[in-house]
Amino acid sequence: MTVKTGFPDRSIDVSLVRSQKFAHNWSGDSFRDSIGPNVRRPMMKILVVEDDQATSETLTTLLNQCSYAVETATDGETAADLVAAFEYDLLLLDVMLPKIDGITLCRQLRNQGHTMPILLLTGKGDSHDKAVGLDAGADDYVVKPFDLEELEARIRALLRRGHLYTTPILEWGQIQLDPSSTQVSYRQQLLALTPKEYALLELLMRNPRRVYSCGMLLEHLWTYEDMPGEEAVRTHIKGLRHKLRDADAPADMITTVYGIGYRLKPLAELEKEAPSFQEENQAAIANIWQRYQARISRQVQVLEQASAAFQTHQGQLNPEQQQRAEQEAHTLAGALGMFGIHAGTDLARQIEQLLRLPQPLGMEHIKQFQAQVETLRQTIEAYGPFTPTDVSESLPPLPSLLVIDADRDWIKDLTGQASHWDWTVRAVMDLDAAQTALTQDLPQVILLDPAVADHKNQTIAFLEKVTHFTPPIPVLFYGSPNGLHSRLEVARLGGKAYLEKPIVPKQVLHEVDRVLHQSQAITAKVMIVDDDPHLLQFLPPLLEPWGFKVSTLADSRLFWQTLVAAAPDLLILDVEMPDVSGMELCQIVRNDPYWQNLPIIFLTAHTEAEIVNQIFVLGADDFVSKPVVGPELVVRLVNRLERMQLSQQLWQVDTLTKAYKRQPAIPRLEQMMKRAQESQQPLSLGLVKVMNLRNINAEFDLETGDSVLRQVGYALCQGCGQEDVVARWSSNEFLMGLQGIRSDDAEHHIQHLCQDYLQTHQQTDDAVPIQLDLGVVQYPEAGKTLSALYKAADQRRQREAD
Amino acid sequence: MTAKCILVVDNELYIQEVVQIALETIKNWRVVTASSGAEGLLKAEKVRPDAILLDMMMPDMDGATTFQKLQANPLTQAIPVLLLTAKIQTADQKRYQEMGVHSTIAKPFDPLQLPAQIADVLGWQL
Repeated sequence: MTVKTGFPDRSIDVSLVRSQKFAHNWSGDSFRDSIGPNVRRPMMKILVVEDDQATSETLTTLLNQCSYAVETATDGETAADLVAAFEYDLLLLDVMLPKIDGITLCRQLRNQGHTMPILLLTGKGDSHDKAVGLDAGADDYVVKPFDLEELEARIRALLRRGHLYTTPILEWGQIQLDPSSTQVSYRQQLLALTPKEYALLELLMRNPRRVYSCGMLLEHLWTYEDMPGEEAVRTHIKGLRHKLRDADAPADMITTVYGIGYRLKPLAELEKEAPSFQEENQAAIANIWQRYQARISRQVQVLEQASAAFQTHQGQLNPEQQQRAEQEAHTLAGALGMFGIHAGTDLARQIEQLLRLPQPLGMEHIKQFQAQVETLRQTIEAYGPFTPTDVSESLPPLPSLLVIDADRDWIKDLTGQASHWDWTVRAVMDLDAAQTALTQDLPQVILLDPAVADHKNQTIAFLEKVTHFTPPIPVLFYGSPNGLHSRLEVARLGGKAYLEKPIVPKQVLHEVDRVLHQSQAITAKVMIVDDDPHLLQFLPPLLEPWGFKVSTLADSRLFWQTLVAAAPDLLILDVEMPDVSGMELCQIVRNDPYWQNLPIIFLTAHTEAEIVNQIFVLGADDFVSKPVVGPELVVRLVNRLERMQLSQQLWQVDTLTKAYKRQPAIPRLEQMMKRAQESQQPLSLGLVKVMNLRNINAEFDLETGDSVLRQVGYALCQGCGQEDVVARWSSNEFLMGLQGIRSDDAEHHIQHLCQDYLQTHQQTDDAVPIQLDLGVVQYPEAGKTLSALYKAADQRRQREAD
Repeated sequence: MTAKCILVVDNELYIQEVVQIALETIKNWRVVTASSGAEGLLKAEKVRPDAILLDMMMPDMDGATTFQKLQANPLTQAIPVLLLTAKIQTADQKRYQEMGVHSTIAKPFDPLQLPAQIADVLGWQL
């Protein structure tokens, strides 16, 4: 059939085989991913470009059966027009096509910035063709004649991955790479890269955490035909580094991982060390400030003495005092701004001007002088605590806090307390000043009293900015209870914690400490058991730079006590050892209820299938053959740990609702209670119950019920901060722990979440009626234990419902 | 290109240090410091810096006097002098120009911008 696309400036005549598109019957359980009759999954749209009619029709039928919307084109040119006019989720592209061949089209589309997955259909099986196709930007290929099941699986896999190039512009630190224009810039300054240098950087930026060996880079960036030696890679890396350095970017942005390969320097290190010398310098200047605070304090003291003298001597200073005061005011005016204290410079300048007035000063001027000197003192003290001790330059910069609060006395208290923790505090009175402060120096934690903002939108705009830093700066809120109304937005934006005024600085600082430690990276503990002393010497220095904490054991007889003491996250075992072999140890671990899930990697000189098989039967997760090649071991360890973390998450999280499962939620909630008690901060527990779940399941079907639960769970999780806990407590109940918020506010908040959900639900599907009941209580008023709190919440829910 | 050498004359130690850090780390220039006009004259003669940053308000010998003495000495007369001054009124600026100083840099300066500022007024291609 012939269809016109209806685009105003272009109409394309193409033969399209439209599937039974949106009118397709969605009922029945033949759909793998079906989530219920009333909740529509967006339909995936596939463009099949194939000139052979038989193949094209087979594909269309097959894909229709899998519930994809399919359109077809019979030549490259038509396909290009279609892609320009419509959005497709995936392209199935034949290599041999009339007008424009598949490879050329693929390259063209990628150059135009199209990012949908492309699957090539090729009649030729040789690697060169595949390589050329992949180099042209295809994501995968299938060789004709293809196995339908395999094709379908590949399509699913590609669709799961989604648009690979979802970020149109790649960023790493200050480097930006725009794949659509193949331009690279550092701080807006364009770098002139050769195609290979560009490709190298792009590959690294697409996989910033991955280490590439020379061999891997060769495989990725060169076709099989013109693959040069590893020396070529080094030359290109060198060229790239040179250009980075010329642009004032850190040349070690591309880091050599000794003995393994290349990777991008971790962002955390880039930020810490040298996004530029700017931060380095600011740290050095802050250091000077620290060391000269006593001197600056004395300078202010001279002004304070002058202020007192004006008072007692009727607006008159003796000439010597006058000259000194003027000198110090002048110096301060010239110096404070240099440290970033511009308000201090302004004040000192005004003070200097008052000192130049003919004396005796009138009462008004004396008062003005006094007030200005006082404010100057406060400004300076708020900027940093006076620590008489010398700060050695080799010390890392102190953790810094940015406090945004209009309450001067409170800031003063906080600043004083913070010095005990060795933290530097910067205080500003409003959000504008906070923005400026952020351009000068990035704090590790921000403390914000939302009352400083005139409007909550202002707070939200500020939060948006802050959470977009990499890594995001955690924000702690504290304020009067009624200042926390925008909790929903704030939680969505990643506010870290809520503290309620009145609160003493010490508690706030405890909370800051907790947040600081939380954001530090977790290192994995690895235990190695091997009777080869060389290996035990060789491995720790190889693994430690990667953040692994390594403990070693040569005598396998001491295994158990060492295991318990070291409590590793991962175990590396030698197969053959005197006394107790690695295989036996593996068995022991797998049979222990506590340790049974510990990941185990074997080191073995044996690669015979039989032994390897036996290792896996005993429960090993992986094996690495000896002699150990460092890079390989590191890669395997990292993979294993990533998978383990993933499975731990899966274990703790309810797969349907993405809320915590009940068991893992209990200790978290209890910890929240403990913390609330220690910090004297409110904690609320909310119970949300889907009242008519049973009816929904009965009237519609189980999938509909599941879909409702999933959406409610999602809505509740979205509306909570990272510190809060949402747990699926029973089949139709969610229990939420909300930190730092009173029960009436919490109730308001959860109600809001539920209403939001119900509204969106109504828009998409009004056929399924949903009733959500809610009960919120406060700890410890409503109960001291979790079960007491749950009961109280449930009672409250019933009362509310009545 | 050999690294530039700058003499900083300021009685306030912390200002000396900030200038030093800024110039040394950002531009890799060599910095020599002096805490008084007299010390500045001596060091200027000895190290022959590429430029002198001179504070205006100093006890004992102020910036203006120091500058005149630098000008009177044939060994230091050719060295460009930049005044560091918190006095930014146009009247002052004019007076400095009449004295023959090369240029003025307002205090407080932004340490990170300072090297570029100096290079700029002296026309140094860096």
